[in-house]
Amino acid sequence: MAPTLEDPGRMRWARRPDPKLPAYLVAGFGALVVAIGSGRPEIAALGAPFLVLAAVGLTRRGPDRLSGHVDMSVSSAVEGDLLDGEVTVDWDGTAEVDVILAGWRGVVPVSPTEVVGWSLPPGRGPVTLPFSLQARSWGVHSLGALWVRAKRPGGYTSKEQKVNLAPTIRVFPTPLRLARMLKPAEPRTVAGMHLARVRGSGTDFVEMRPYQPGDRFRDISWSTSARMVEPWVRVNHPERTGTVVILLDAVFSDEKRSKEALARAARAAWAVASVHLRAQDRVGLLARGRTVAWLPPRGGRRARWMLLEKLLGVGRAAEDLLHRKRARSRIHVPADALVVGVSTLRSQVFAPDLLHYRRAGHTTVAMVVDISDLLPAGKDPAGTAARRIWLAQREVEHESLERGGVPTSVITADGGAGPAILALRRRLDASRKAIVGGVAEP
Amino acid sequence: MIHWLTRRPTLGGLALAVAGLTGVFVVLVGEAPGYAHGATFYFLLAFLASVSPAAIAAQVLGGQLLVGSLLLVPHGPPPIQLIPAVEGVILTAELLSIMARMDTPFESHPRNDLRRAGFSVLIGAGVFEAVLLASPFPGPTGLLAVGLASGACVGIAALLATPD
Repeated sequence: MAPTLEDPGRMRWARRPDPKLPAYLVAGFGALVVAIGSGRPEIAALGAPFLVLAAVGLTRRGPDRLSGHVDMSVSSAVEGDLLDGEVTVDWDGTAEVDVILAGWRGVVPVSPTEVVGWSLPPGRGPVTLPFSLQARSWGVHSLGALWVRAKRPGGYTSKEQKVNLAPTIRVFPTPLRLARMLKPAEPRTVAGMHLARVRGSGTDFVEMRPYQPGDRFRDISWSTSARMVEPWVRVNHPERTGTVVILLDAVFSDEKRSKEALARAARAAWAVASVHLRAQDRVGLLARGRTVAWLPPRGGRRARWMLLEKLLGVGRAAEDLLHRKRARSRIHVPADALVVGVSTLRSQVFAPDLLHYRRAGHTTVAMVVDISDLLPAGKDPAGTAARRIWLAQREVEHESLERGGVPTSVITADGGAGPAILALRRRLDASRKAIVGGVAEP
Repeated sequence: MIHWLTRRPTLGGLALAVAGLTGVFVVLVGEAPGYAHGATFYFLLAFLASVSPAAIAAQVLGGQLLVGSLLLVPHGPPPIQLIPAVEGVILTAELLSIMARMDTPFESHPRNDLRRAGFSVLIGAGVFEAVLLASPFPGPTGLLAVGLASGACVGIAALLATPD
């Protein structure tokens, strides 16, 4: 994959002196001054070695030209994947070069370990250095920038420069196997992978035909009618898709546990979105919390990629403090949309948000991602109490959702999203039957 | 294979040992109680420089002051006897500088730096001796001779060190 190139002339660089260079210069010239002042030539002898050493070091200035780039074997990966890459660095003449890839996020170095850095013995460029990273967390991550520090052998000044930016990489969440899905709020004919032969109102074009009594005026194609000198109507496939809006609770902190909790919620959201998109539903995403992402409901393959991009953007925000967005005001979702809330219930604003959509008339369900296994075990009374308080708070949020008419189910770390979806589907079916039968919804 | 990252403390210890030996040498040559305090102070400066590279300048200047004090006292040792002390100051500074360069989170290979530290010590001793030879002339003549000798050494070193 081609790296993101930046004009090398605009890259920051600096010449850094060896820590002993100023000492040698001061010692050398200082001794000369003292020798002249005191009239004692032997004092100058004490400074001469330092002056000579400084002169030797200063004549060997760092290379004038430094260049380099980072190539990755892949541009996207799944959490846990190994990513191979190569750093190529070039310079003029013989030099001792230190190379470091700094500022990466969402990945951990595998080889070389701890940091992706090399200290090269004196030699000439170009040099190619292989490295391996492991995708740690999902999101669109920058692999940072390539920094090079070079100095001539024996030189007392080195040149340090950011020579290029490393590419970005998309890390996808670990896929969840999901066979079940929720029924959209307003299921049309049937949700399937292919269009049926039946015709009706919709957006997928079938044919044009002359106007017949009973046709809707809104279906008249005015341009075709003008050409044919008689009214013609546009005939479409019937609308058979549902609309699902996933409300993702994107509240997180800088803690590792918090990011893992967000990752679990995102995996569940992605699993729900994927299965509905495969069934031709229109799916939208609304992530709210320390970052905001809004994708209006869309269907098809393109929607899948757009939704994934939005989700990866949330993942990036969790890793990169600079890419967080402030929350916007409440977003209006389509009236017929089934709102699926996915949350760990750590946030106290998520439940009111979801209840707002319920009160607005949307069919609303909540999938609560269980992260109790991520909580630190209470080893002392304070820890135990903190754990209990956290669980009680979650229970309060859970209860408020249920009381507000939002069916909830819990996604456990072991069970995955499948059983939770099945449970929600049963509850939705039961409530719909109750409404049809004239019985009040429980 | 030597893991140099783990050898950094060893280099620091070596630098401090050289600084300590330099101090002991000055105390022995100086034969006065004040030199013991000076040597202790110099050792502390070297220790400080091993912690923070910014203090290398203080170590060099402290060392120079310590050796220079032997030159300034009446009836002091002959200047040529001070070559080990000058070498000690330079070697300590070079080792501390190598240590500072190794203060990176990745493996650094200071083999060439160590070799060059040895050369620096040899150059320092040679220049000190060469300039001392020009210094016996008293007054301005001696200063001129020392200046010329120093300039010549700097010029020769610069010519020899010109990069390829």
